[in-house]
Amino acid sequence: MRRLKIVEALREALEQSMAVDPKVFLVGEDVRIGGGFAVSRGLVERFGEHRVLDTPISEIAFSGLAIGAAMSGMRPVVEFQFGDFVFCAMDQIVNQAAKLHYMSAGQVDVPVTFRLPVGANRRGAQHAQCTESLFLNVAGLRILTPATPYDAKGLLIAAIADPNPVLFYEHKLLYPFAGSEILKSLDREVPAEPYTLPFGQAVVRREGRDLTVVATMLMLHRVLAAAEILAREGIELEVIDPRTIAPLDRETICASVGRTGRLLVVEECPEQGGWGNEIIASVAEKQGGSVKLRRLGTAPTPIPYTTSLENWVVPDTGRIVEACRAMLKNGGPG
Amino acid sequence: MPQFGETSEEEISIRCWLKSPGEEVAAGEALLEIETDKATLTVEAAESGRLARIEKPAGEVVKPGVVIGYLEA
Amino acid sequence: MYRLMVRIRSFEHKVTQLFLKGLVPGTIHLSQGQEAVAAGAVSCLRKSDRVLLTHRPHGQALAKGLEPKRLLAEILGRAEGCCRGKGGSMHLADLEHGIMPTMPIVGAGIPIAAGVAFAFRESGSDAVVMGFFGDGATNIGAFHEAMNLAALWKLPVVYVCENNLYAVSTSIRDSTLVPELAERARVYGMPAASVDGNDVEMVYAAADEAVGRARRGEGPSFLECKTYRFSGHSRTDPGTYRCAEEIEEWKGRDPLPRCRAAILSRGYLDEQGCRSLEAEEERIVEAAAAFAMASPQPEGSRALDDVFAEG
Repeated sequence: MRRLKIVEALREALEQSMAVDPKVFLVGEDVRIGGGFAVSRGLVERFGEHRVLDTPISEIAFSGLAIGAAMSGMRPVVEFQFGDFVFCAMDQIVNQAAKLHYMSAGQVDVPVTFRLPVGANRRGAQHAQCTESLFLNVAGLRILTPATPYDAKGLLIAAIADPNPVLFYEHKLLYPFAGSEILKSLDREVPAEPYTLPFGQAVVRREGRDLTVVATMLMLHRVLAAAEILAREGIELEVIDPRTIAPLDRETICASVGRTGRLLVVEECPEQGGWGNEIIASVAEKQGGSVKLRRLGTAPTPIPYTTSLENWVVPDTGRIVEACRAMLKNGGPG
Repeated sequence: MPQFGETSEEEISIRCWLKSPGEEVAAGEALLEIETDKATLTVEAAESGRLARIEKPAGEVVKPGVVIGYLEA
Repeated sequence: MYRLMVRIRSFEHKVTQLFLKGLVPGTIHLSQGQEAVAAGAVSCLRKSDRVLLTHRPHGQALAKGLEPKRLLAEILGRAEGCCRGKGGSMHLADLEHGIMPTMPIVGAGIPIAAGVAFAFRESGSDAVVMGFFGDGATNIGAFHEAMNLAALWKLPVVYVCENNLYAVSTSIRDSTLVPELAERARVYGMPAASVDGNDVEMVYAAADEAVGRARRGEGPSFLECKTYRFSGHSRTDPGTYRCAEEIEEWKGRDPLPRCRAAILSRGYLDEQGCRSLEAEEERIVEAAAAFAMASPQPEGSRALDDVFAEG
């Protein structure tokens, strides 16, 4: 089976998109040597300096430049070296990219893809955040959160081809992930040819009758590990990977909760205002008081640096297992 | 009363009329002084004419859209 | 160019009238007094060149070719406005005439203009981009980042700064130790000039030189145009932070009579010709107002259109 690590799948997606469409270019800090996480390694050698551009440290300038170029027929892919740096360019993303098509009554498109490496990995609070929740509340943005190499490649190619602004999330700890003997549902061949995946289409990673668990990126991997443990106790989780949180596949999730009667959302961001709320609220509206609902996110703190603290803050497999058991035990939030 | 405040609900005080009924006023000429939450402003006449009648005298507080006077062209 | 300035002045006057009649949903940022910058700078451009404008865009938009009736309908928030009522006075767009969506977030358009210029350059086009902003924008981060990047990458963009001495109520003296704004661009390695923004010929000459430089691939330029707005920042701002003497002094440098005098003295038009031009522009603006007032408000559910482009 052709297995690629996520970092390789992303690189292949970029390479194939750039080969097919001369309007695609990469821009960001140090993208010529590969960017923050080697994703763009080798691309300048193949496509030249006009298509792989290193910038000074100026998130506003290069985000804005990408938006201007996108409105003028190009397809920029912007890398924020760490997803936390997106906050330096918030105006460009939220006030400009997300709104220009709308305000102009469709006279311009903004086909820009912003790539954001995210997730806690021992660097401390300003290099650790998962930032997707904040953007969920902005109309006009696509937000993609793949957890597997197959999804990463297909969604990135689709993102670049999409005429709308896209925030494409890449979990730092998942870059080396190429498939798993244990978590078989994440294991899938990555086709060599280019392909796209649809937005707003969740995947049921594991079927189960007892509790629906929704998670993305690294949390999805931990939920699946928890599912293995719980299966040995006779608890069957139904695990759903939304893959994209904007647009969000509410139907698949609601249908699942309709069968299990219980929903747990696990997210790598503080529960308050996290994207999990959107799923909880959507299900609650549809299914009302008959279902049990719970969120599990990071502690309400910035992400601390040292290992023991970081592990305490971010949900691990053990804590996910406990949360699931609690939901099954007394039928409500543990 | 035009919308000089931040919202269509923000009430505006009429401080004083700078013309009396019967007086002629030219387009662009100062007609009355008003006060919003933010500032005191001079409102000019939109068109030339004779100030026929003042509906809301000085001291009145009104919302945008309310008729405050009549200008006869 | 005089025709353009007359059109802009009449237009802004008409907008004022309509505002006083309660027909404008929001506020408006008028540009009386600044017409020479719009007319002079934009007149150097081709239809295929692009402009990036701000919250005070009426003058440049009209100069670039946006039809007065479409602009006025948009200001009144009607369905036949250039953005179908979705954008309003501050968020105009008319791609057919090279008017990119205008951006009232101060400074936001400066890097975006660089991006449009980048796209032109990469496509082999010799089109240029002209980005407008005010003195206040020279303090925000986006300005500094974009000046640096545009100069570094030698992008075909001309940045025109309308220095009208105030950002809402804050005087330039209270905003920077470097009120000679051309200096703030030179420091990034960008050629910069400073001109009397109320002399339409000077503005044209300086802008034309900068546009030529960009078109030949020699990179960006910065043009500071010293000017003044006769009105407050917006319609809810009485502008009382400025003293009457200063306002009167600048009214004495009104770009329209100066240009008119030059036209008469050089014999381009006679008095009759000037009056005829002015009357014609009045009629155009009146017709625009009639069109705009007759245009309906868009249907509420149209608010759902255009959130996303169809792929």
